[in-house]
Amino acid sequence: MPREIITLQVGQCGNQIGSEFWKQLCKEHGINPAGYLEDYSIPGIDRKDVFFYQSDDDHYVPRALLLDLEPRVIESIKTSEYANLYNQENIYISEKGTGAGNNWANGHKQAESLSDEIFDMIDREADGSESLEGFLMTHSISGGTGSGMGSFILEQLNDRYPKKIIQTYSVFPDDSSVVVQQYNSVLTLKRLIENVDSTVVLDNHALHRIVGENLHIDQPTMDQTNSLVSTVMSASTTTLRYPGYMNNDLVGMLASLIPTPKCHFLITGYTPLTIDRQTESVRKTSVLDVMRRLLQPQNIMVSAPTKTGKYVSIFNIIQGDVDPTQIHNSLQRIREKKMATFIDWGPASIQVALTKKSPYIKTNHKVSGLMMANHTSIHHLFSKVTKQYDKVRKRNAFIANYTKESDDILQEFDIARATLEDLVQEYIAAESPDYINYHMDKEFNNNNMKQQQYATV
Amino acid sequence: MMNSSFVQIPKLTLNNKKSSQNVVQTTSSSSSSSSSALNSKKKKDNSTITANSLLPKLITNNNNNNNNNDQVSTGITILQNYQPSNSSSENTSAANTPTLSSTKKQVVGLVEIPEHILIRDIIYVFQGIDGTFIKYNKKSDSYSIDDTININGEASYISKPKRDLVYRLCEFGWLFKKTRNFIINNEFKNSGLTNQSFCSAIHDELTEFYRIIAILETQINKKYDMHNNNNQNNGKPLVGIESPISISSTSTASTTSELPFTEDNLTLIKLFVWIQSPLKKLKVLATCVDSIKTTMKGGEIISQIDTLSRHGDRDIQKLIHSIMFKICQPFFSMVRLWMFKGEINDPYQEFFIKQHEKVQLERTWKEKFAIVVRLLPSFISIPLAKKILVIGKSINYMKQFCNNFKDDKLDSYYYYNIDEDDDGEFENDDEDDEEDEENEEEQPQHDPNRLTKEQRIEKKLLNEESKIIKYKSNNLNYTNKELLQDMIELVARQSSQRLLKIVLERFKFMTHIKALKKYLLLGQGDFIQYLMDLVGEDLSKPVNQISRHKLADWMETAIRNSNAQFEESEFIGRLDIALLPERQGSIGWDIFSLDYHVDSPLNTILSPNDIIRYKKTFHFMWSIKRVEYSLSSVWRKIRTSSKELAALLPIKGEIHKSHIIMNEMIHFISNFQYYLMFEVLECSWNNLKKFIEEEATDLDQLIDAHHQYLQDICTKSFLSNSDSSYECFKKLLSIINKFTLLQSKLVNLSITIYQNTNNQTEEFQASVNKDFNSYKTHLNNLYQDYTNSFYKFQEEILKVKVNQDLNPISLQYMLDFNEYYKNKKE
Repeated sequence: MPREIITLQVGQCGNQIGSEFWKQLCKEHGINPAGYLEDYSIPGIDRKDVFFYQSDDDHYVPRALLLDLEPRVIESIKTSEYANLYNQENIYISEKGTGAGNNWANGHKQAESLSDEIFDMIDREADGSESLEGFLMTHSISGGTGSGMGSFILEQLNDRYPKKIIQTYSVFPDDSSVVVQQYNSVLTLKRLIENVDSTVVLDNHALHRIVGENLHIDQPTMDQTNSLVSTVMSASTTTLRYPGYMNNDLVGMLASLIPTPKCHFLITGYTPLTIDRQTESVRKTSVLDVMRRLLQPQNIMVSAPTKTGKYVSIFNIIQGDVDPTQIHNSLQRIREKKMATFIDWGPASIQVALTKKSPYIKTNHKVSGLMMANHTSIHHLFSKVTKQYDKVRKRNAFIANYTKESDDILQEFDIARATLEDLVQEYIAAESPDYINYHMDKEFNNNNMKQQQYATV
Repeated sequence: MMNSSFVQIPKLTLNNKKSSQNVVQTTSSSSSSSSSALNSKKKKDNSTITANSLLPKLITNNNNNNNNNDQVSTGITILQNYQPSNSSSENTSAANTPTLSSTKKQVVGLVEIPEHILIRDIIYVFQGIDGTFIKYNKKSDSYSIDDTININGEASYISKPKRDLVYRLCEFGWLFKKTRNFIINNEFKNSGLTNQSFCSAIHDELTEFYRIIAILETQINKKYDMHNNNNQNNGKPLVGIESPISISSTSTASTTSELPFTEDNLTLIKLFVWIQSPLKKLKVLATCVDSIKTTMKGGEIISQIDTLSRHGDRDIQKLIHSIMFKICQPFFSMVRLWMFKGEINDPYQEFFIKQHEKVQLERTWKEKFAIVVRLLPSFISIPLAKKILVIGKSINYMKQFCNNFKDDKLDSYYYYNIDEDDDGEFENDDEDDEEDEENEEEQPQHDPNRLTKEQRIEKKLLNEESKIIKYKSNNLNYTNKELLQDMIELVARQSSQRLLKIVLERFKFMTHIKALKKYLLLGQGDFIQYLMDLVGEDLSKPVNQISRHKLADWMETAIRNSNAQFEESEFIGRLDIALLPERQGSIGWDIFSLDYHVDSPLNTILSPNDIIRYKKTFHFMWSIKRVEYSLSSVWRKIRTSSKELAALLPIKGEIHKSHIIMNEMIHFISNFQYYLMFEVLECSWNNLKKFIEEEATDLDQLIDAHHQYLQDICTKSFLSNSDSSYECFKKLLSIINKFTLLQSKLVNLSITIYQNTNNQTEEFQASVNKDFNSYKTHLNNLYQDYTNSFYKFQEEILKVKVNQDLNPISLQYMLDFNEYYKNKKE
């Protein structure tokens, strides 16, 4: 069965990277901006029904919902050449159109009031699929809409679609951004920890660094960073879209990446990176080159010190015309040279999926690769968030903006902060060989608190 | 009789010590009378002996022959009849021998047999016929002189030198008789064409001897008439005289004009010298005959004779070659028929390629024709023979199985071209071609049958090459081995290429094995996943509740909804459900397999056994997929029930542990599948593809490569290895299955507890605690079991490494990439 995935694009950032993602998918599947197959497309080589459905006139429609509380980004999509790609019924801008004002609580509250409309759309889309695998959300954790409204939807999805997998592509804020981002992030992260099965972390800080350092662009534009994101997103779904012997479904892929439920934050790396219209310097790409570069911190799209900590799992998607024997040799080399440090509490390895490149896109590189990995050092990212949160929280800066939206928000902050801390602890625990006994003796005291928490839900 | 003649020898020797060797010229009164004269007087002339001449002239009286041979051979009673006829004999040459005294040296009571009579006898002996005195003795298999016969009432004798000479001359007769007897042996002659041509070749050579003998005979008569007055020895040394019979059978025609008898009279010694050259030849023939056993056929004979041709003497070489040339004719005509028509016309089973009539259709290619090494001529090596085999096999195969494609121009060309073997048709070919081309040009562009430009060029090339082949084939003979080799290789290459092309392009072999890889080796992931989703529930039922039709329906649904729908019906239409033999208590999973229907002629290349192997591999991989499937289902179940699971506080630690155990299992299953995919399927496939695209030159290689491919897959995926490793693997799978059941139960338990959060009754709590404890025990036991089995499996893999030349090392390190198990063990 197709195991469809419904994409939810929430907020400005979510819609921006979402629309880039769809552009990329259309190119790869030979679908023109209007949603029809290009003449040159070949049937039978790919599987479009995971992300698209076909309307009666053979129009390929993305299984996507475009949601925002302010019109700017969505309007720009609606005036772009891809305007007719989407199902117009799936585009939702709140009538107020004022946005959430960078306020999680505001976004959450607005979403709550719009709940019926939003879930009507989601239900309709879910009903239209034969064997829904789950939802994929693109959003930013630090804004107002993506974080607040996103959080609300995630909570609701858990209740309404308890058997579906939820994956998010979440954009983490850059350091330089606004103060309230720390509040929003902490609150959103709690939902990401508890209501989501897998989060692909897209760290804006790292993205800017990559665009600046690797691609030598001084003032990276939003489009340029977004094109990186869409590259990662499309690459990470190739095995679902080009079926092969293995990794044909999302669950299978996640199951091997995420052993324990909480530690589901994935880092990504991609090489060789290019940006449209940029005269790229073509590198020699062999499988070993690609796999080695994927392990280098400068290619990883998260600002986490991957030289410390341990890999829980690695999944590499290698695209291109590759001799399978090269995979074996490369893996052996990586193992000999100990290029990656793995956990001690269980078997772990680099798993590789080989996929063909889309025949419709010309690239200068023979081989390209995406890494999705579960790495313990990501807790530094969360620690940083909590640290900064603590700073602003101490001063109670802008806290009034939140308290005015919700009475419980302060308690909510504390719970979120604790949940985040828990996660950090678990990641640290996962670096020790004794992780298997993690919950055995310890933590019982914490549980009382948790129990209350669930009682309130 | 023999004994008595030998007893007399010493006497005779003494008596003839001083007598010279005599050449006796005899005249026969009538050529039709083949018997030797009995009544003759022997006269000796010692006076004419000179130092130079070894051949003193001797005038003999020739008596009339009054008796026929039959009478002679009957015995003494007949001989006695001749006694009175002594006086009646008229000696026409008496006048020339006045000095001879008939009684001078005569041993008392014994008459020496006159030389001319001996010569006449010898002439008969030469032809394998008994003479008067010289007779064949069957018992001792030799000729002997019967000198118990009386001449003119007197006992006869032969002097020792003469006797020796006669015996030596008899060798010729003995050989001749032996050779002739062999070739008239019907049993041998009629058991094969090569046998016949062998006999005929020998016979041709023997005929030469008859001719020579006839010449000898006439010369004896003639000489006597012409030269009976000329008794002078011209002193010409006999050794210098050329024999009338040269080894080379071709030169004999001219000898009649240069007869050796013109100058001299024929004596035993002369005869002996003359006979040397023919004798050499006869010896060769006799050797040939001698080396052939009557049971030999075809190539055996050729090989046998061929060994004799390796002789330093050029004359002998030449002779053997001429025989070889003849006896190889049937062989080469069979080879030609085989190489150009793919047919065997071999009524006597003497061709080195044997056709098995009762071969199942699908085994035609591999088993219908086989080389019989015994019948292989020695000048054709086994590799060359294999090439010849392939050539005819290919043509035969094309004739049998490619008729469907007759409407295709290119194929019909292949087909008919090899069918013609008349040289005369070459020109017609050309005309046809030109006509074809003209016609084609007139044809409208959209004619689907129209050959493309490339095809036409190719056709032309083929035409050129086939002409060369035909030209060469007509010059086929065994002496020019290089030509033979070149030609066979050329034809082999061509016909193999043609057949290969047909198999690859018309039979679409590659697409078929690609389809097999996609569907039976699970390459088409979306189809397999869809199928798994659909049939999963049904397959958990006992065998008797499983409906084949339902499964087939599911399969159709899976095809329609996956990319398999884009597969051409020619391939996807062959896909079907196969249910394997069931055992006691089997459930659907145990017997389910996909099937791929292969019909004629494809089944000659993709044999039913191959398909069985595919099915076996499918079953194996499908069982792994199933485990992977249930693992990820449980993973999903656990993840989507986090809320409920959180209610199980008392066993939170165990649940955490179960996540990690599950991770181990998922890691094992997915890495085993990676191993299967990269190390087994893709690598073997790449090798096969590369071989077929770049190296394969004939169908056999193609079939063998495909076999190897399947073999590789089976070996590397532990299907054909020791049972213990396979059993061990299955054990692991079953433990994982148990684990998934346990986890499912856990989720159900958590739901019950979650729903009864407010139920704090002791009863409920007690049952919950019991369940918790049971879960803990089960989990720990399972994990223990799993760990042990895993280590055992690792050991099994290592064993396999030792046993076989394959690469489970990569499996070994993939299963323990981070050396977790290694460290844990330590």
